[in-house]
Amino acid sequence: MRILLMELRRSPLRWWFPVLVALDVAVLFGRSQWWIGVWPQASAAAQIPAFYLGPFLAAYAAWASGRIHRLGFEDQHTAGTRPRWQVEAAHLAAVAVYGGVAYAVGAGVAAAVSYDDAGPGFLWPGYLLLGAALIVLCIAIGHMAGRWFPSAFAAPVICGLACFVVVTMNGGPMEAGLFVLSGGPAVEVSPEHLAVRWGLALTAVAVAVLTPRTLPGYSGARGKVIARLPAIGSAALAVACLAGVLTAGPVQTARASRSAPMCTRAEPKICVWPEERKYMPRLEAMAKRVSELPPAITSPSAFYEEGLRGGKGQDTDFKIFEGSMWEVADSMSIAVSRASTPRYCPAQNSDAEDRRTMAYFELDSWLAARISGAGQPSDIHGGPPGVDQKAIARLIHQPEPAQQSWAKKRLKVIEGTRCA
Amino acid sequence: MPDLRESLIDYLRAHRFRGIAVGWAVLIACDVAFGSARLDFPFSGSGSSATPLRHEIPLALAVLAVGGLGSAMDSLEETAASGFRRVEISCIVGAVSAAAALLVAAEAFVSPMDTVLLLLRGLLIWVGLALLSGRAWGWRFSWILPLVTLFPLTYWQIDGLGRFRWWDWTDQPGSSMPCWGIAVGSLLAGGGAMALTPWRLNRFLRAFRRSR
Repeated sequence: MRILLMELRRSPLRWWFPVLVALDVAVLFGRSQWWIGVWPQASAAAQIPAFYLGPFLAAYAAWASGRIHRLGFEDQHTAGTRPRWQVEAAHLAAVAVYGGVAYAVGAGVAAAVSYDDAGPGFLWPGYLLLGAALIVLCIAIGHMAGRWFPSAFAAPVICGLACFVVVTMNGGPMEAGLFVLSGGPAVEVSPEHLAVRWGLALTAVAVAVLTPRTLPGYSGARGKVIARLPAIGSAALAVACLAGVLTAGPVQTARASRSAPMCTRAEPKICVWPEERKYMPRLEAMAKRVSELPPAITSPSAFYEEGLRGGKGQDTDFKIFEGSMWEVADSMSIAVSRASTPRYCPAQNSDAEDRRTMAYFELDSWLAARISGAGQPSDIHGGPPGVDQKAIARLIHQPEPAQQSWAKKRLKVIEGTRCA
Repeated sequence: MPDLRESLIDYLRAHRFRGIAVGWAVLIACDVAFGSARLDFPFSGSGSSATPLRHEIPLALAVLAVGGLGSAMDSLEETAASGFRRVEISCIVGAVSAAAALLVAAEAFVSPMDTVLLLLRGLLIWVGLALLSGRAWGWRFSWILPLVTLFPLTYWQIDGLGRFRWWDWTDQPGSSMPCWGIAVGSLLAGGGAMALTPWRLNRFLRAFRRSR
């Protein structure tokens, strides 16, 4: 403990600590702010800085752990009264403390800005722990590299770059799952996945700390093997954990405990996860706009966010993608046009098929614009091919009868298509 | 000039040129073998912005070249005389040229001209930054600023419309003028850092204090 305090007081990282915090906050707010006010999304956003803190701390740890050798204190440490692993663990812990505190400050900031909008609840610990595991893993790898190759130059450079490239290429949520990009309320990091990742991080720490560089006083092959046993054992465990991480599948799984959805008071009901209560006023306005659609259009009695109904209705349920209400209106428009038209059947010929598809595209675009209350936002690209989104945006401001006759024309094309 | 040649060889020996040569060889091999592997940066949004690995290779080349200025006698060398300075400067110029030549030679076979220009530009930018951080924290920390640039280059490189920002020198085409502007600025800054030796810095500080 005293060594740890001494190391904390003397570590050059104390000058870099503000930089670490600044980096964390820059990653948190630098790209997007839509996660503010939704607890799981805020937790995932607070976890992302680990992706950048990890490689930086790996480079630092590689530099720091080589110091003992570079300064010529190797023999003194080996001959010291304290077991070597305690010294190494204290050095490693000092790096982890600085990194962890910077990371925690970022999480605190994320919680503070979310507190007003998000309602009951708090940051989800699963995501925060996932990021912490990545940081610890990177530090352990850096420490290991620094002990074996105590160069002041090559070890940090290679370690920092390699951690960055490997985590980028293999750590994504669809691969090893060392970090996630967003945390929708329908998914969570399950404790088993978390445990495997922490197992990997902690066994890596054990390897970094326990591996002896030199074995003075041990003679004979057998004695040396016995002295190396803890390191060999933890290395085997680390390999097992790595295999577990790679084979366990996606890190985010469907949420185990389903809570009651939160629905709009206006009919038709639009239901979302209770974590997303901050969207309620906008969803109420959308529900009202759906109820104001012309009588020729029939709407389903309720719309659900993805995951609320378990396995059911996966193709019509909406998703709140990066807080965009346009995406919600877009999915709802498809559900509405499905409810207003006869069931799909293959058309008689391809001309009729194309005509009907086009009518569907235009009808859907108009419905989406009506439901969202405005045309397609300028930062959204694409949409159904061949539909003039600007014309649609003008159309929804025309008098109601004109819009009704426009929609009826499309409905007629769809209903008039004969089945093969 | 046998004298200069001898001191050059001595300098190279003291500055681990073998290690640097090995490092470069490994990097160039990686470049040729895995250069087209795509780094799918997770925060690039919806646009397709996968940067090939080879666009990042000059970073390591530059860091190595500048790191070669460091030696076990760093503090002694900081009090160097003009002869040593001459060797030091010719060595760093030579090292950067050698890195550029290696890069061009390797890339000329596998990449179009535009990519070669892009990589050269990256090398110049990172050399300038490496010189700057080497002067600030010691030559063996030449990696700090170049490594830090990876953060904006992989996190903010895409604007709201899915286009690469003007300063993203790892993705803008080799003919992009603003990025060459960055290269010139970075080289000037790096050259300034190289010229700002400890004794000149001392002199400046003293003059500054006297004038106050």
